[in-house]
Amino acid sequence: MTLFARNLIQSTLLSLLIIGNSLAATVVVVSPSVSAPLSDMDVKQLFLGKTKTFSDGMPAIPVNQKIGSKPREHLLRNLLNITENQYRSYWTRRLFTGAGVPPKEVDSDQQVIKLIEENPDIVGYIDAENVTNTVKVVLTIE
Amino acid sequence: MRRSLWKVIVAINLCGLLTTIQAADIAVNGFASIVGGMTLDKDDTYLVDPSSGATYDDNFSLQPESIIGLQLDVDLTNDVKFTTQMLARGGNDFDTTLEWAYLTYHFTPNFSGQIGRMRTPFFFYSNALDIGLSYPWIRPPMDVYWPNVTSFDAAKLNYATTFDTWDVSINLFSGTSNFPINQGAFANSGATVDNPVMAGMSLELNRDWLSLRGSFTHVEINLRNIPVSQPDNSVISVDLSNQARYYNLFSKIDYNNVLLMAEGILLTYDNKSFNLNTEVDWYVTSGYRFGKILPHFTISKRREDDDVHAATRKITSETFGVRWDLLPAAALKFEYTHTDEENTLSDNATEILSAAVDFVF
Repeated sequence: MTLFARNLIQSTLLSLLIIGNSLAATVVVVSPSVSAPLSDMDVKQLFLGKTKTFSDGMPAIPVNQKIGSKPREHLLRNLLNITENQYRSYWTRRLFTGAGVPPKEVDSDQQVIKLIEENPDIVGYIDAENVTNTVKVVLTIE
Repeated sequence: MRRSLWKVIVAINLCGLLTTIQAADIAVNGFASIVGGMTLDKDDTYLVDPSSGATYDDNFSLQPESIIGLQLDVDLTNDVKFTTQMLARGGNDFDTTLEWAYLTYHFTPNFSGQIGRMRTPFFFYSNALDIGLSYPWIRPPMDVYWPNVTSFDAAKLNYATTFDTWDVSINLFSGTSNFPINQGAFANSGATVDNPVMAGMSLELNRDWLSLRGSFTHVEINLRNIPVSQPDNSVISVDLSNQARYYNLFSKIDYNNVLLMAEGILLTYDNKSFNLNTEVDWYVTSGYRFGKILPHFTISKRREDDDVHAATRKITSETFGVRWDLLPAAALKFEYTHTDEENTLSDNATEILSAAVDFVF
C-alpha cells in the first residue's frame, strides 16, 4: 500500500468518525434559570456523586438516562472516561457503603426535559437534536 | 420478575410504616451472597464470620457465610438523610438484625455529621464488609478482618473535598459497643466485650487508580464473663478491663488490568494480660484482570506476641482465588485458602475451599 493510499484511508476513517460523532452529539442541559456555568469537571463530579451543588452553591440533582442509551454511552465514555460496568460498580460500592444513592434514571430525552421544567435543580443530558427552548445547553460532549 | 415483585412488596410495607414522614425520596436496594465452603481435612474448622463466630468444617455448608440484606436510603429533607441496613446472616441462623440505622446531616455540601448505629471504621473495607461485590475475595482476609466488633453506636463528623485530582475524606468518630464473643472457645460462654469508648479518626485519599487510608482508634475494653480454666480443671468466670490503640494503613493500586492491595493493623494494649497481646496483622493481594475474569493471590499474616508468657502465635495464610463478573450486578467466585497456625506448642495447617455468588438487586 502506498503512503498516499494509507493517508487517504486514514483521513476518510477520521472524517467518518467525526461525522458519526456530530450526528449524535450529546449535550448537558439545565433549566434556563440556572446562571452558574458547568465545566467538564463539574459535570463529572455531579454524576459521580462527589458534589451536590452548582458552582454558585445552589443544589444540583443529576439525572441519568437508561443503561444502553446513546446519550448515556457518550457521557460515560467521553466525559467520565469510564465503562458502563465500572460506573455501575462504582455506584454499587458507594451505595452500600453509605456514601450516597446513584442518580435516578429516566427513559428518554423528553423525560429529562420534563423533569427540568418541573425542577430547576435537575442536570441532565440529551441528544443535541432534541433540545427545546425550555432547557439551556451548558456543555457539548465532543 | 420476582425481584421487582419483592421490591414492590417491601416498598408498599415501608410506605405504610413511613406515612407519618413526608419523605421526598426512598431508595430500597438489596444485596446477597450465597456462599458455600468446607475444610479439606477432618477435624479442621475455619472461622469465616467473626461477628457470628460461624466456621466451616469438613462438611460442605452454605450456612456460615450466606447473607441477605436490604438497605433503605430516605431523604427526609434536602440536608437530612436516614440510612438503614437490615441483614440476615447464615451464621446467625438468618435472624434479621439492624446493622445500620443512622441519620446524616449536611452542615455544608462538604461537611456532614452522622449519628446512630454504623460500622466500626477499623478497616478500608469496614463499610463494605457484607457487600461481596465490592472486593475481589469471597471474604476479606480473616488474619486481618478478625475483630468481632463490626458495628457501634456513634457520632461521626465527615469532611470530604477535592484537591486537584485527589478526593480527600477526613472522619472523626466516637461511639460505644457491646457484643457477645462467639469465637472459638468462647462460643455460648456468655462472654461479652463491652467497649464504652471507641474514638478515633481516619483519613482517606483517592485518585483515579490509587487509594490510601490511615486510621487510629482508641478503644476502652471491658471483657465480662471470660471463662478461665483453673489448675484443678474447674472453670471460673472473670472480668477484665484494658485499653487498646489500634492503627490501620491501607493502599490500593487499580491501574489498567493490575490490582495491588496491602493493608495492615497494629494493635497494642496498655496492660499485658490474658489473651490481649500486641498484634501486627497484614495482607498483600495481587491480581490481574483478563476482561471479566480476575485471578488473584493473597498472602496474609497474623502475629500475636504474648509478652507475659514469652510466647508467639503466628498464622500465615495463602489464598488463590478467581472472581468472574458475570453481570455488572453479579459475580461468581472460587477460592482456595491454605492457613498455618503456629504457636509454641503446636503447628496446624488447614485447607479451605469455597465458592460464592454475590449480587445486588
